[in-house]
Amino acid sequence: MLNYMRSEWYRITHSTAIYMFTIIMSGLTLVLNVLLYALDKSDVSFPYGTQSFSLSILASGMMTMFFAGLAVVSLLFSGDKKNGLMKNALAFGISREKMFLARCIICVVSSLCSLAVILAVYIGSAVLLLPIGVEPDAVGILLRGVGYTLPMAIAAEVLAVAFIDFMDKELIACLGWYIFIGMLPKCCALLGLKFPVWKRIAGWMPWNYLAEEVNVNMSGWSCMWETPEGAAKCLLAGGIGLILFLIMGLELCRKQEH
Amino acid sequence: MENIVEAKNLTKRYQSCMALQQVNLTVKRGEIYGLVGANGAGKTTFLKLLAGQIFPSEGEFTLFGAHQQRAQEKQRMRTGAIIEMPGFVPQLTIEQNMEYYRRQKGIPGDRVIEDTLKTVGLWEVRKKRAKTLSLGMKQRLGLAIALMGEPELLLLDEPINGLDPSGIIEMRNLLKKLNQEKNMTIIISSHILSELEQLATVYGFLDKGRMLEQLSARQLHEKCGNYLEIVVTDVEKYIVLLEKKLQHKDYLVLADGTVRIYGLEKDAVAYSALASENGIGIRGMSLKQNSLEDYYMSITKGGRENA
Repeated sequence: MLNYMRSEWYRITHSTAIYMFTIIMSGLTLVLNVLLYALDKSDVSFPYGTQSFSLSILASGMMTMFFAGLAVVSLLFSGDKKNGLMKNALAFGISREKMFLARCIICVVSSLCSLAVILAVYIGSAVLLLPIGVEPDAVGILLRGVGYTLPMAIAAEVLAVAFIDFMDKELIACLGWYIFIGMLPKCCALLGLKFPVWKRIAGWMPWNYLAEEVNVNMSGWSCMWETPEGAAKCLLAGGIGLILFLIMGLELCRKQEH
Repeated sequence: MENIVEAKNLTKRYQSCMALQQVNLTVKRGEIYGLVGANGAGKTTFLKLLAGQIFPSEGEFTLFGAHQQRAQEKQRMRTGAIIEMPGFVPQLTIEQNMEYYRRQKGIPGDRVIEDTLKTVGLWEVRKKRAKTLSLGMKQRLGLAIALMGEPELLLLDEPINGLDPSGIIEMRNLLKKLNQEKNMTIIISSHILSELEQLATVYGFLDKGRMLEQLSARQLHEKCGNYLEIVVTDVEKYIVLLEKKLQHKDYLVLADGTVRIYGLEKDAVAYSALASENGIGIRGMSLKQNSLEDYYMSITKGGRENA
């Protein structure tokens, strides 16, 4: 498995995909902050030219991290089946389970490296160019939010690896992923309108709690991870998701073997 | 000699389609095993099973003596394979692809890349991106990947597809050399039977997923042997005489009336004399040698497709 990981790491670092993704995402955040800076300088009454507003875009939409993870998996691993990389690895004695676990690890490491650069550009440019705004600790809250959402983002990435590895069509894999990550929680929340038990279950699903328990606007920030209960919920839900999706991925591997 | 692969009642079913049925087969160390069969005969399915890309529905096989799935995975480190299309990263160069697989196979030192690329004739173009290569060069790259680390068993599915005539000769010579010098065991399938005939030491004839026959090159040569083709004016009378006077029943009457006599026990003159002495005219006569292709066609009753 270590050899397989070494080879995959070599492939990723010698291909352009992850660099392009990081440059484009960092570039977009930089453009956003430069734009806010320009608008702030050109109009003194412009209320959005602040760090708080800029950083609130990610803080209020932490699910973006899930989609970013899906994009990284898709960029790194789509086409591997078509290009015969997986069948070669199997022929050289790497089991499907090991391949899946190795790909998860490599993908998470690559994503974390990319995330570090994007966040550095995003937060750095916001701090350098924009005044603080309504939330004096916006940077701290955002960074803590990223930290607490990370386990679930990793879990979502593991699910994406499982689907992209084992489904023949990438579009179907992405749809399947969205059903699990976005639609299923929404359905549970809808059932929760009628049945209290479903409301409790839906409340533990990241897609729902990140939308409902994070309130970020121009009058102030109220983020669930800033309370011990909220932070614990994020970590626990992320941990459960990670275990669940890992088991699911390994089950898919075993299913392919029989 | 050690058995490298031993299949017992190996069966692979895809929903209602039987890709491989009860196949029994043994490949010994140092053999070049030629898998012969038409499209859909089960050649690729068999190689995929050995490579762990699919799993048997019934039956079993051993790989270097390993029987269990997990044990076989370890043994696959001793194999190299090209099954269907060669697999590589299109965006990387030839050299980078080799490095990718060198790491994956855990082969120490990067000298092996230069040596292998020189062996398959890709060293000079090592900086080319894989996606820009011609079909023949892609095939060579696939072979280089399979050969890296000098595997003990090579699984090759149609390896000469896309190669130009000189490439085919180079590939044949290379495989022979690897087999003779390194005692590498090779299982190879090819549609080009004349090519397989120059390479294989053992043949397995597959048809509709069944193993019809397994023969060594020597046995095949003996079985193929010579046959006599004779065109006579009265075919019916001639075959009656052939059976009654010469007690010869191993013959075939072709659609155009040509009589093909196998298993020649007598001099060719005896068969022509049989006609002339009984008032049957001879329009033509020739002594021929059966090729692998002829043999394959005869055991599959003409074959359904071109092999």
